[in-house]
Formats: sequence, C-alpha cells, structure tokens
Amino acid sequence: MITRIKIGSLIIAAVIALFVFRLGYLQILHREQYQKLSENNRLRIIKSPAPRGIIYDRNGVPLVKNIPTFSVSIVPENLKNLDRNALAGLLEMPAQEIEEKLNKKDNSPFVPIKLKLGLNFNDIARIEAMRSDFPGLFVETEVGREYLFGKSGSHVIGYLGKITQAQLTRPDLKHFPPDALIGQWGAEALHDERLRGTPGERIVEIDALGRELRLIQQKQAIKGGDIHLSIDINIHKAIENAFGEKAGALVAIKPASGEILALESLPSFDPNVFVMGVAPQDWKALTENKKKPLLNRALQSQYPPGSTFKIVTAITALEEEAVKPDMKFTCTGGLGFGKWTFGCWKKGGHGSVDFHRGIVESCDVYFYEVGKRLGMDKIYKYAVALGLGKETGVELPPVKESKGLVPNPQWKREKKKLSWFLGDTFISAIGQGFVSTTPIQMASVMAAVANNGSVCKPTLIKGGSLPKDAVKLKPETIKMIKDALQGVVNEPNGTAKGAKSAIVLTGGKTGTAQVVSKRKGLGGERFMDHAWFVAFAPVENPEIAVAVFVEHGGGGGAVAAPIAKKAIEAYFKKEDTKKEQENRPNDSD
Amino acid sequence: MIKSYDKWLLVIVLLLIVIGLTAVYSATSVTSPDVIEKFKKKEIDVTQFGFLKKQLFTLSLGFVMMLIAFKVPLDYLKKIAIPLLIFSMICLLLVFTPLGATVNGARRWIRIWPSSFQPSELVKLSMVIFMSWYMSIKFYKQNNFKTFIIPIAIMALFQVVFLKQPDFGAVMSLALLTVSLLFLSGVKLRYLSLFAVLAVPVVIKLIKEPYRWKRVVAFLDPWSDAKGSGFQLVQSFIALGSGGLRGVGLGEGRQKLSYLPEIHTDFIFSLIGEELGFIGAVFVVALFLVLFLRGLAIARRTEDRFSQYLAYGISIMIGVQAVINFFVVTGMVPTKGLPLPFISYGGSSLIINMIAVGLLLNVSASGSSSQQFDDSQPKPAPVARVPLHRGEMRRHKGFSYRHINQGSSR
Repeated sequence: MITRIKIGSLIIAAVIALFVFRLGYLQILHREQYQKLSENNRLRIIKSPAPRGIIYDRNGVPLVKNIPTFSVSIVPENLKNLDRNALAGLLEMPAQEIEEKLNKKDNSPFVPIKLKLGLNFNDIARIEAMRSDFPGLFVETEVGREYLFGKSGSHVIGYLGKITQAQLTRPDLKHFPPDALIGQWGAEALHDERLRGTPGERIVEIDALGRELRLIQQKQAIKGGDIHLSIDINIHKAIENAFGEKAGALVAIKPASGEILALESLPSFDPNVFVMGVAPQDWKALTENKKKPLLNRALQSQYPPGSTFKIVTAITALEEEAVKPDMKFTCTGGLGFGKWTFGCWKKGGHGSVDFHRGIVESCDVYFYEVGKRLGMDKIYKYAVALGLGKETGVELPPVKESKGLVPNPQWKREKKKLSWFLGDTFISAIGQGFVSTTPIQMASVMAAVANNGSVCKPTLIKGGSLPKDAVKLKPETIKMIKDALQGVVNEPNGTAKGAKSAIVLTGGKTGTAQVVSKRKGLGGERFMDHAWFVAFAPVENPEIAVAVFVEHGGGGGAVAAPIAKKAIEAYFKKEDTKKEQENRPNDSD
Repeated sequence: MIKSYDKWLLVIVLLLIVIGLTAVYSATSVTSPDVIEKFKKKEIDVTQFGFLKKQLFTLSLGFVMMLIAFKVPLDYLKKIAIPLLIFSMICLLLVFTPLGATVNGARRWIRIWPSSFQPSELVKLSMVIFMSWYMSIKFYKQNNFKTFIIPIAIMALFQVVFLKQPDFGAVMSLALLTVSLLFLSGVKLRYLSLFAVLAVPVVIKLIKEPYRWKRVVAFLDPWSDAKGSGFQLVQSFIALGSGGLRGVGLGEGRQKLSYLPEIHTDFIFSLIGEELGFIGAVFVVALFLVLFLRGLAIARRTEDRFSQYLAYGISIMIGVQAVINFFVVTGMVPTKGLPLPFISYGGSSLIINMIAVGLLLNVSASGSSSQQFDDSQPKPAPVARVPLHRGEMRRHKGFSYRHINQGSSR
C-alpha cells in the first residue's frame, strides 16, 4: 500500500506539474498572441457565399447569371459611440431606418447587421474612405442573381429572394443568416439545395476598426450544381408579346417524354426586382395588380376547356364504338330536348355532319348526339385516364397546382345533391358546364393524343422522361383523331386556320369557354369568353404539343391559335438553326 | 460534544467556495443580451445577482448537508452502502423518464422543483461509499479475481447508463475513481492491466462516435474549426492566454461576454485564469492539491479500513474531477461536461462535494474513536499497515491517535 500510495503520489505530482506547465505555456509563453486576439475583438468569420449554380434551358442557353452585389454591415458591438446621423448621411438613407435595423429584437451582439444592400461603386468608394470614423462598419460582397430574360419564363425560373421569418424557423434553414438569399419561387426554389453550393469561410484576425490583420484559415466556397431545365427559352421569347394586354397561359410539352418545352403565364413578373429585397412599391404593384402577375395561370387557372374537350369525347366515341366515323347527324343549329334547346355555336347549323367534319367544324350538335349515345360515365373514364380531373404533378413551388374537374353523376349527387340529367351530358361533352381544366392539363392531354395514348408525367428537367400511363387506343382511333385535328388547322372549313404554319404541318383544336354572365347580355372585356387552343406538330411523329389559354380572349380560333403557331414555329425555327450549326464545320477549334 | 476535526481542510474548502462565488458573480453579473435571452427561456433570473443568489441558496443547503454528513455515524454508512448505490441507480434511470431534462442534447438531469439534479454526481459519492465498504469486508481479497470483477461490473453497469445519456465525462471520472481505489487497496496489478487492455477497444469504439470524434478532432486542433467545434476551446485559450501572469483584473475579463460558452459552469477556471492570471490559477490548483493531500493524510492516520478507504475515495473523487476539469479547459483532453468542484456554478456538484467534505471531516474527527479492526482478515491490506502500526497503541480506549500525531508533529 505504501508503495502504491507512493506511485499514486508520483503520478499526481506529474499530472499537476504537467498542468502547471501547460498553464504557463498558455498564459506566459503565448500571452501576447492571445492577448491580441482578445483585445482586437479577435476573430471574425467572413463567409464568402458560394457561386450559385446556373440554370440553363434545354439548348444550353444560360437563363441566369451570378453578379456580385455589395452590401454594408455593422457589428453591433461597436454601436456605443456610433454617430447615427453621420452614418445615415454616409449611407444616404434615413436615420430612422438605420435605427430600426439596429434595434431589431433578434439582433445578436456579434453578428453583423446588414444596413444596406445593392451598393454601387460610388457608395463603396465613399464608405471605404470614411470607414475609420465608423468602427465595425464594413462592405461585403455577395452573390446576386441576374435573370437574363427578364419576364420571359419567370414563372418557371423563379427568383432568388431574402429568406423569410417563417423559413428561418425551418430546421433545414435555421442556421441561415437573417438576410440570406435563397430560392423563393419556381426552379430556384425547387432546386435550391442543389443550386446553393457550400459557402466558403475565411477566419481572420481583425483589429478594433475591423481591419484584417492576419488570415487564420480559409475554406474555399464550392459552387452550386447547375440545373438544365426542359424549357426552350426561344418559345418563351416568341410569345412574350403575343398575348398583348390579355392574361393567359401557354404550355408546350414534348409528347414522347413529358418534358415541358414552355410554361408561360401572363402577365408575369420581372424576377430581377426580388433579388435585392423587393421594394415595397414593387411588391404592392405585383400583389395589387388586378391581372395577378404572381398567379401561375398555367397550373392554377381552371376553366371549362370548351370544344378542346371534344377531343376526349371523340376518342371515347370511337373507342366505345358509339358512333361509326361515317355516321352522320344533322345539325340545324340546335338540338331540342324536352322543353330545352341546346344550341350549336353556328346559328344556321352545319347540316349533315360526320365524325371528321364534326371535329373540323366543331359542331356542337354532333357531340350532343355522341354524348347522348355514350353517357357521362364513359366520357369520364377516358377524361381521367388522359389526365384530367387530377394534378399532373408538376412541381413549381410555391404554386399549388389546381386539379380541375371532370363531373360524373356520382360527383353531382355527392357534391351538388342533384341528379344527373342528359342535359348535363350534352354540355359536358362539349367541355362546358362543370368541366374545368388547367392549361397544363390540356397540354398534357394533347401530348398524350400526339403520343398515341401514352400519358407522360410532365417534367421541367431536361431529359426527365418519366414513366408513362398508357391509355390503350386503337390505331384507327388515333388516325381518325389526328386526321381531324389536322383538318381543324388546315382545311378551308377548319376553325383554327390561324394556326396553319408554312414550316410544319400542325394539328389542333379550338375551344371557347363561355363566361356565364355573357348570356345576360353584359358587355365589356370582363364578360368576354375565354379562348383555348390545343395543338401538336408535326402531325407525323409529333415533337411538340401546345395548349394556349387566353383569359377573356374571345374565340379560340381567332385569338389563341396564332399564339400556338408562334410557339410551334419558334420551336422548329430554332431546331433548324441548331441543325445548321451542327452541320457547319466548327472553325473556332 | 464537538468532534475535533481537520480545521485546515475546512478552511481550504471555504476558500475554494469563496473563490467560486466570486468567479460565478463575475461571470454572470454582466451578460450580453443574447445570453440573457437564452436563459430567460429557461426561466432563470438573469439580473445582476440572479445566479449568485441561487448559488448562495444552494450553498446554504450544502452547509446543512455537510453538517449532517459530519455528524452521521460512519458505521451507519456501511449499512446504507448498497441501498445508496441502488438509490443512485434509480435516480440515474429517472433521467430517462419524463422527470428527466434534456440540455444540449444530453439527458443528464432530473427535475426537482425548483431546480434540477444531476444523478451522476450522486453516483460518484455512492460508489466511493460502496467501494470503501466492499473493500473493507471479509469477503474482499486483493488476489481474488472474483472480488475484483464485482466492482468492475457495477462500475460498467453505471457506465452503460452514462453512455445512454450520453455523459462520457462521468464514464471517465467513475472509471478513474474506481480503478484508483482498487489500485490502492492492493489489487493484483495483473487484474488491473487485464482490465486496461480490455477497456482500450471499448474506449476506441466509443470515441469513434461522430460527435465525440468531432470533439477529439477539435481538441487535437481547435483552430481548424475555430467557429464550430473548436470554438469553445479556442475561446478558453484566449481567456487563459490573455490573462497572462497577473490577469486582466477581477471582473475585467472579456470572454464572459458570451464569447466563451459555459464560462460560469464547466469553464469557470478559464475565467479565473483570465481575470487573476497564472498566479490566481496556480493558487486554485494549489488549493486543490492541498485539499487532496489533507484528504490523504486523514486517510493515513485512520486505522478503520472503511473510514480509511472513504477518505482516500473522497480525496480521489474531488481530485479526479478537478484534474479532468483543468485538463479540459486547457485543451489537454477532449472537452467533457464536468464542473470544477466547489467553484463552478451548479447545485448537484456543489452539494455532493460538500457532503463528501463533511464525510471527510467526519473521518478526520473520528479517526481516534474508530473501533473495530478486523483481525480475522488473514492478510490485511497494507493500507492499514502504517496507521495500524501507530494506531496499535491507540487501541486502548480514550487514547487518541490524533493527539499523538499532532503532538509529535509539533
């Protein structure tokens, strides 16, 4: 025991001696180094934001650019002797605003407070010159974002904006500084994590004036990953002015894969205004605008599809063999049924109409007859199989996609507490009444038809071809439908001659969604019908399917068809130029 | 009758407590707004005297407990050694019930109105009492592997629970404490080496745990992540280093302005080093050293085996905690959450350590009146040899060994 106590005592003596040496090493030998760190407010961590990934369109055209922006911040610890009025003068901003920012409740004493964003070079020069008068004031470089095509495609590309209070409470975003920029809309928001990258860090020793004395450690920022969208910015550019003052939407889909070639909702917004923190007047203008630029009409507007729905009715008719293609009905301008008369859009009537003419001239009476022979349940079955009445599944935060509606007797019984009448079938068969669809749904239906019945889930990522739900259609059905749709555009009696293109053989179908109040004889734009047009091209091996929707646009053929033509031609023109470029020997190498 | 106890031991402990109160006041009287916000959420009084008041309250409770520990018959402790150990295990397990409180991701506390209690502190003291009893009963033989493995198994059981919390600091200090006691009792070195060899892979596996590994890395090179995992250590270095030889002056420290997290608890020694410098820091170390040596001296002049081991155990318990804390704040071992006895803010550690000191004083006072020495033990531990030698005279009733000792030392 004695020996053991001796051993123990020796160990303890050694441990204590070791510790005292360590203390001496820290406190006496390295005193100066640590004292400097202590007195000079020691370390500052300067984060250098990672360059954000670039968003490209399907042809590799960059849609965004990272630009440096400058902001000025102050360390709250240095506030005691701050001349706030002088600072207000230096930053050219009201003293009151500075006061507000400095007195925010969630300020932490050692985290710099951002005072002003988006400085120009004059501001920076002025601040740098005067900085010694304002300890703790410093200019930071940040990564800003420039949207190269402005309003074009802004609903898809989205924007980068200041993190919100609500987002700061989310577990994955909690560690972000209160003025961080993160993707807030569209692809910028959806792929934020990928685009973000890893910020770099410089740990520097600084003096009381915030001057860097020594670099202690540096971690390079890692650039965020790029995103290749499926959209073709040429289409967006081509239709930018096509809508004029009208609100509306256009969706173009590559039928074989479901890739979205264009998704536009008008009016749109300029994402550039959001990057440096949206100015109150800009935000007010956007939210109070009666045309709702922030509404994504392509995904959210649901209106009766009008005659474009006849495609669904026609497919059902042929598949269920309710009518023979050469079977003719006589249109006298309306169909009497009991005490009701269901009118055709052509007051004088179409006369004797077969399947082909029924679609080409969009005869309502023909489809009343077809509807009567089919019954709503069958139309419902095909409509849902083709993707109506449910979300297509496109993700574009923060937009919530609308479902649209395909009615059937069961639905009417449950939701409206009413029984289904044959009249309901009539108006549903021509896409009026309770039927409602979103532009992306109609584009999806068109793509499915163009793709011979295979419904692909629409995607905004290039190469993102997704599993297909095939609706089994007979080859004859597809041929009949495509022939008829081609006729709509190209035959003399077709309702969509405005879509006829010299470049590519196009097929399509017009539609007009009636605004109920119109029947009451009210005038003005508010009561004009909504125009629809769905199209695909080329008729053989379609590469693009389009849906155009124009709010209060009037007739589909007159208003919507030319817009679709522009989009289709923009797609194929670019295809041509691209092919030329590829064929040309590359002389730059 | 007031027993005659080791007055110097009491003086040293009182000195440590006063230094502790001063340091806690210095650390908590001025706090930056974000610290205030943080503590407001925990409903702690964060005004100038808030922490001091609470610590003083704990202290008064501690003195009462200390007095009880001083008065309690030591024989009684032998009887409750096992029940106490079971009780501490229950307390420890309560941590995992809704009574438990999670702080910074570790479940180490149980809530007892109006405060919370850290059972691991109680476990250490119970283990000392248990070991003292165990090593002084007939059953115990230094050269019997079975008797060696029983305390090791009990220790391991506690350690498993500690790891669940997780509280690696408690695992380490309990291991050091138990093994030192076994070592002192004269256990065969072969057993201890075997234990050490077997423990190595377990420790390695535990350290590889990501969050612990991070701490190990941070400890090896705190500057590599000075704002992240190495932050606390770097700030502790800055505190100690900027203190220099004489310190920046009492109350003048800057690191407490929310730079150094936990400066009023686990890192209070850094504040002492900053404000009182190397001289102040070494003074505190010296106080602990003297405390430890007084404890050993008390043990040495006690001939009752239980009391003797108790005195050794308590001295080692306090010493181990102090040394681990010193090593942590100076970056000599990876960071663990262990308070500095008598000095750090916090109730559990203070009260338990004061009880321990009360027991130590009790031993110092009863050294003379302790009776039974078990002659039937075939090979009495050498522990007893020295005191036995001198104490043999004292076996005549009423003859105090302590008096002789004091007399002879003068």
